[in-house]
Amino acid sequence: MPSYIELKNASQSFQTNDTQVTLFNNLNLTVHQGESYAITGPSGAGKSSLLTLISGLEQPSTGHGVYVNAGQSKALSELRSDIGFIFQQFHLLPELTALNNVALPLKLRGDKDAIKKATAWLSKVGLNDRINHKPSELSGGEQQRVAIARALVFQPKFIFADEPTGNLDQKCAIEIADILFTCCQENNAALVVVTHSDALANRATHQFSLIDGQFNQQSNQTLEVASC
Amino acid sequence: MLMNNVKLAWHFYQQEYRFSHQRLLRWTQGALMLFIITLSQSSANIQTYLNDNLQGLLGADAVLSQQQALTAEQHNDIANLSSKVVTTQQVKTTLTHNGQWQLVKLKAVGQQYPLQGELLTSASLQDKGQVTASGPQQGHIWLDARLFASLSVEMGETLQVANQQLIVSRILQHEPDRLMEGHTVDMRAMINQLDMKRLNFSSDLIHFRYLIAASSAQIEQLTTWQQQTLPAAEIFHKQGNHPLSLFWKRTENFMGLASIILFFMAAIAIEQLTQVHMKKDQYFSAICMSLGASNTTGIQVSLFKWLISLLLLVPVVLILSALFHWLIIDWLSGTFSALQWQINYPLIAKSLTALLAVFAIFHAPVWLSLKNNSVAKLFSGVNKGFSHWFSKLSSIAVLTGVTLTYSDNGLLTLMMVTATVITIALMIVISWSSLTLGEKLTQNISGLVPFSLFMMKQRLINKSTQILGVGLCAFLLLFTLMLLKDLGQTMSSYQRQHDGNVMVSQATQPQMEFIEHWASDKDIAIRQTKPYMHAKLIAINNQSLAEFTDKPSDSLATFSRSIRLHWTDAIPLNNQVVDGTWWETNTPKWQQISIEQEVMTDLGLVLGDWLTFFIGQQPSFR
Repeated sequence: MPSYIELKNASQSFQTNDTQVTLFNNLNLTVHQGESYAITGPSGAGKSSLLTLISGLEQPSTGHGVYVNAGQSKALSELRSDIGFIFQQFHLLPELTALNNVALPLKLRGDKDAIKKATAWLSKVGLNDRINHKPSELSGGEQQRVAIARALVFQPKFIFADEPTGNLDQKCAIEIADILFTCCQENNAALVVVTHSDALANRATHQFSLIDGQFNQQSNQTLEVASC
Repeated sequence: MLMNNVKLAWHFYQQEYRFSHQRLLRWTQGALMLFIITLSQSSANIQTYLNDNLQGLLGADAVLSQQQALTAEQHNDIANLSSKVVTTQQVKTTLTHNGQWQLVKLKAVGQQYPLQGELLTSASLQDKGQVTASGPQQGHIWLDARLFASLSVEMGETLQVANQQLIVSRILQHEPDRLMEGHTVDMRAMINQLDMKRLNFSSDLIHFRYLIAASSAQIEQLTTWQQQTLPAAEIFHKQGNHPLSLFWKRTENFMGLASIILFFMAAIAIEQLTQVHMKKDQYFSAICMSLGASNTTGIQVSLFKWLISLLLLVPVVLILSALFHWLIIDWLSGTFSALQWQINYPLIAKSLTALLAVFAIFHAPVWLSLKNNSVAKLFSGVNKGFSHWFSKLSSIAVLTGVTLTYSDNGLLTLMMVTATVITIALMIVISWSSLTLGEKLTQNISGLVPFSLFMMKQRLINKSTQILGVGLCAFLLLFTLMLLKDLGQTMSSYQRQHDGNVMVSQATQPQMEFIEHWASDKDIAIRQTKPYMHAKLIAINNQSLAEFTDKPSDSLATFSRSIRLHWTDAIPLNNQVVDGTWWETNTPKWQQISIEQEVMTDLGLVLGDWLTFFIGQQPSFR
């Protein structure tokens, strides 16, 4: 039975000095395993914050989220072991080599073949000659590939990507998008992408535009190009 | 899973090993551990030595001394306070042998003597002292070396005291309760308590001393009891004015303050590093959690990493502290003879546990922040919540605890802490007001200067902890240096007063020549030589002593016998003239004498009085 994530009446706001800033109000969203979603919208609309809520990395100010797995409803914090997150700022550990960064999630799970699998994934993203380089020795695009390999290496059920092609040239962006969507398709994983790129957003099955704290949903299902 | 987390912690510890913040933290923690362990080991070594030394010198925790014997009821009272009480009796008498005579202090002891410390005796003058379990048997007498020589007595000969025959069987070399009797050069002899009864001295001549084993609380109780029940009796105890104890107490006060200062500096450094660590660990845990790890994994990895870092420091610290401890003891053994290097393992374990607890408290905010914050917050590194305040409060709690533990002198510590607080306040006020004033004054001069001052003021707010930390460290360093300077001065002045650790109480001219030759060979400085003659005061202002005063006094009793009359050209370094003038060289009025202030008062003397001494002929001194 496919798993899904459900956000109900989720609102997010924060306090800066004396002002309360509300990013969005009463949002409802369901993310199904095996489907792809793109969230677009202007800068500061709260897309990244929404992504952290759906992935269970942050609690909503009001409302709640559930993770339904094999028919069982759980809190979103339980979702963490089934997600792979690709951050806009990559968030690679500077002290580890590319190989060890990718192997990290496997090591956290006690996988004895961590290094072997990580090597294979680095090769898959075209970095087999950069295995022993530390993040500071890699370009932005290379760091992005390492971050993607790290998020996908343990074959999560849900993949979240925050501006995964934002730092890349067009050729690289297409390559990265291919990797993401292919992996999603191969593993029957859900992919949720926050992006400013229309090309990337158009490849997703579902597209949401977050404007003024509200969703404007469009479906790309009729477009054959992008479903995974 | 736990083993997996340990492996991960070890892996990340290795990865971070060469990072500057890790290196700085290792050095800070290592230096603090090294200092504390070396200090505690050296202190314990010296304390043990002093304790043994005190036991050897004092012979009891407390001594009750009075002219009469205690009544049965008083004896019971003391027995209720302490189970170990030993009685000694002393009488001043004259011993004669083959026409030689000497005034001696005759001490009678029982089989329980000595209570604490070692009684040393020997079979001949040349022998080294041997530890003797108890005092002389009935019918035996032990003489001190000087008395033995001056009476020209042989071992096994008998001495007659009040028609009783006593066999000379040992030479008395050291009595452990001697120091508490007060400084005296009287010749000494020791007999059995039962013989004292047979000698049948008048009861008013016998001085009773009760040696008591007691804890600090028991000493307090005993003192209160003595003040209420026996106000005329004297009580001496270990908490009294023993010069070595006082000196060590001062040193301990200084060491305590130095420890507090060092801890303050280390606390600033560790607190600063904790901020870096918190960010690092938060970031690391946030990544792990975003990749599927639980909060517990993040905390466990951080905890193990911290533990591995400290555990790997321990062997290095132990080896270095043992080395420094050895060097300190080796250096001190010049002052404290027979001080030996000893490792106190339980104390090491105790110190290490305490240090680990302190470091854990400093590091606790890191683990708290991992536990309480969401992944997104951990990424952002915002840290203004509970863990931030916990960090500050825990630092203050640790510093208060350390201050209370290491402070031997409340006033001194309060002064130090107050000085630190005032310094911080001054640093804040002076920095802020000078920058504000500078900014205002330069507003109309140039745009760049006020802008720089404005930026500095902004940086002052943002970097306040770092600036205060560096400033405070500089202050504490200066403070320590000043304290060291003061201590150095105190020590050198103390040394001037109490220098020398061997006293030869009597030597003939050939013996003196030998001592001088030996001292010169061994490069030993003889601090003072006091030639003397026996002299007997026979008149004051041409009046006999009986005519001069009819008031009984200790001084008069002393002057009724021969005294040692010393002479010297210059004022001894450890003496000072409180009234009158020291005689000048080649003065025609050479017959001048200086007397202790206390004796002057006791006898009712004034400057200009004439004292007549009998020294072979009859010169007069004024």
